[in-house]
Amino acid sequence: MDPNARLRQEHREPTVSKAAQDHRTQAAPLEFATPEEMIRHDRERTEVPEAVGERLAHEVGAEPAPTGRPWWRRWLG
Amino acid sequence: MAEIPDETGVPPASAAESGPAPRALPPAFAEVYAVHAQAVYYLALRILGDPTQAQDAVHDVFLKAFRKYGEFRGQSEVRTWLYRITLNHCSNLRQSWAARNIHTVADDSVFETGVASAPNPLRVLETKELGERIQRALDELTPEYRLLLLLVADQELSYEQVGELTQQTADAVRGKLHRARKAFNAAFQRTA
Repeated sequence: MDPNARLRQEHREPTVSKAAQDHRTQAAPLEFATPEEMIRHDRERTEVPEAVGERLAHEVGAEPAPTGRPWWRRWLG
Repeated sequence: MAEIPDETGVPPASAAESGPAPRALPPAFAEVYAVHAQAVYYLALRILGDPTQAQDAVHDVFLKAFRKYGEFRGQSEVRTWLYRITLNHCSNLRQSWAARNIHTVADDSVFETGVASAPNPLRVLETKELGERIQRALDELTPEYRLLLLLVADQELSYEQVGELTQQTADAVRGKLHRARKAFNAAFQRTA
């Protein structure tokens, strides 16, 4: 096994035509030159569930009003 | 936690960010969340290996960031600062898991709950092949190699910033990265 071999991942795309639905889904190989590239691809496909933001908003809304200028306002200028 | 959706969901059509920010957040903070939440979530997900815990981590990290606004001096990038909070949070979680396992060695059900409750099997299947193989390969690496690869994969971070987060020099990061890549490649081949 060559550890330096390019990383390959079978990526299954859903078939489009009705006829094709009876056959196996097509497999288009994705190739990544480095692990970081593969990880980056995976990260871009990984969404944060909306419920997390909703829960955060709920808790932030219950927080006392911040005094001074918040860091996130300074960051945005 | 049962109402929180699946592990990773469907990929956004084109957005590289986390998508629309929650409307109830203060607008400026919502912008911070929109830009960084996906990166924080992914880092937590791959370190913890558990989507439910990773979702909790995102929530806790951003809540902590909101509360600690007075402590951020702007000496590092926001992404780096959020990552540091995330790494501390994950480290604390893992330590508490390890401590708990001393008493309940066979209690694996805690870790399986999140994955099993994913509501959309097609989504899981779609992300399973790549996401799960990456997870399994990362799990085989040493914690240091795993973290290096995850941080270097973030193009917003320089080697200096990765070094800052992992408490080593940028040159050390570069040196170890080569070995981390080799280890990952070998581990990934074994997941086929």
